[in-house]
Amino acid sequence: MTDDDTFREFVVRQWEPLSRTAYLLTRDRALAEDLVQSALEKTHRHWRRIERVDSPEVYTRRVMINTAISWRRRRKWAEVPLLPSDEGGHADPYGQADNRHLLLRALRDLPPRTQAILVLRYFEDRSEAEIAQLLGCSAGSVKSQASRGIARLRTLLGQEGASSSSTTLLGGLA
Amino acid sequence: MTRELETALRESFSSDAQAVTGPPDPWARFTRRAATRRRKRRLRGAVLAAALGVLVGVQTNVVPLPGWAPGIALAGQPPAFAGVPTRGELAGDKAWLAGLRRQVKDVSDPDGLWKVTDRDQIRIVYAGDIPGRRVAILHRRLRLGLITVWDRAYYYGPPGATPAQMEEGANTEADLPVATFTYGGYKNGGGALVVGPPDATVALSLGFVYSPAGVIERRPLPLASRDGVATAALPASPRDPQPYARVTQGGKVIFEAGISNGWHFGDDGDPARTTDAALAKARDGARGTPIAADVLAWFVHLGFEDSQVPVRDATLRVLWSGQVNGEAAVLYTIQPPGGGVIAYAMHGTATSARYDLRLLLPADGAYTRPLAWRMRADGRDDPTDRVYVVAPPGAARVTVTVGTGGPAAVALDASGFGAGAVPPDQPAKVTAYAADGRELATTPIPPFERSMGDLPGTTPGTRIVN
Repeated sequence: MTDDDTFREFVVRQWEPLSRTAYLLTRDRALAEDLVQSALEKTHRHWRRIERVDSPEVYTRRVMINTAISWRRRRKWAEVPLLPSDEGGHADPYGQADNRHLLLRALRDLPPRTQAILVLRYFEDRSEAEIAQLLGCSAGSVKSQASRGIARLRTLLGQEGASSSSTTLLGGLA
Repeated sequence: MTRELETALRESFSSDAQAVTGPPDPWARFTRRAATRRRKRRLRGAVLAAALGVLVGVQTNVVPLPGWAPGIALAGQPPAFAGVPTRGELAGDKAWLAGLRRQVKDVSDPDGLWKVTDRDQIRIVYAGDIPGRRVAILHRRLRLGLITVWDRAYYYGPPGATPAQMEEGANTEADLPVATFTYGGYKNGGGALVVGPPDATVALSLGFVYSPAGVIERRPLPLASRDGVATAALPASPRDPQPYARVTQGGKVIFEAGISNGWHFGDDGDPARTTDAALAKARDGARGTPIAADVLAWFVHLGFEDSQVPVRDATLRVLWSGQVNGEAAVLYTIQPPGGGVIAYAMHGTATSARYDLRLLLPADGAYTRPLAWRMRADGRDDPTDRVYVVAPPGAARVTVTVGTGGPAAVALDASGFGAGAVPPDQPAKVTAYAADGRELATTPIPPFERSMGDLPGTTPGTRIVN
């Protein structure tokens, strides 16, 4: 199998998972696709080395996440997709979407790096050590930032979403 | 408690991510986009090569340059407020400003890392306190290889924040003549900041009405702007107070737009929720096949939320319902008391919805005119040439006219619904005729909306005034 073949296989395999993480980092589909494209192009440029020395998946994610954290373009947060998975059989047609709106609004008040850590932790299910490797920092730093992020979210949701729906969201926390 | 929040985060991320699916052929998508980006890079590279020949290695950051090295200013646009001293109550606090300069971050984007060229060159446009926040707006010069650009960054922190507590919230182009910052929520209210040229006058308004003529009228806020700067407290409100700024300089309006950056909402007594009785009443006279109650409730909820019209006292009317692209679809209107009429067309399900039309109409004749809307491809944002039409009651036929072309008849079903074709970039109108050939009314077919961040009626494409 040539280098091009293996890279092609990598793109096909990684495009969707990368896009999902990119979307959670940017909340903008076009920006997310730009992020994925950019990260894959950079990966392609160094493919031979990355494939043999580094883990391509880790390398691409590292590029993508670090780019997302400090992207030069202003982030937009208008899009909150409404999904079939919100269906869930509950009687209130608004409840889950309202919860997600509240949570998203609270998330966007966190620093970009903290948001990225929470996405990696709770969407990609990565360990603190893995996140530290991706972000180029210590596991302790990841742990403390994640902890501060969760605490901040709790505060924000308590302040701004203290209502019936956020009570559901936080299991009675508010 | 933390575990419950963690669970909520997992579920929310998982749900949101499900909306993102890859293209059928990721490799084809990648190679096509890579080719486009290569073309752009070649163009930029050619310009640089002509000017600088062998320094290509510098541009690609292979050879790093010190911050003081001269660069090529991209687009040649200097930042706004050049030569204007820092404004705000921290303008004289040299230690704080110096601390902030040290706090300013480099910025990365897909082209690479844009480094702050020289921290001493960071121009702080504003530094001070607005109600509930400390805010700083600054211009930094960024370098990527030989290219330099000016960029405007917004930093914020709690009242009285030290420089180290200031976080970057957003960045924009530096040449915009006005900088704005807002934040807030339903419980504690918030604040707004507008910074224009020093000799500009800033007017802020909160709230608005949809006038019966089909335009949005704003309510000015008593405000004294000084040195081109205005700050205001935003009152606690269940809805975004929609701060709107108008900045004039020398009698000329240099900025006029809504400046809200979002609002934390509570849902105590959600003002966008309708009762079953109101929904049932709204269906009176509706044409087409009935839409499921939960789907209608959801769509109407979105409309009230989008239009910011309180449900109480508003008139809700379902004009038509049926199927679009295999999903439930509806055309309905919301009219605040004595105000203009906002028409919404949507399709989707009880948990997903797509806005197909947002249009503010004059109250007079709003219910007797044909309405049409352009369709984007489902699941994507690509415009299509498909146009859907709903004729007013009593219309015998409807035509669609593209640009200066001739009218084309649209076949209508028994509910007055039909489909036509209009090239996405062409203006068009829809006209309804009575059985005796008399023209009943004509309505422009709105262009595709590029942004739904503003109220319907804010932009010309979302309002009709005749």
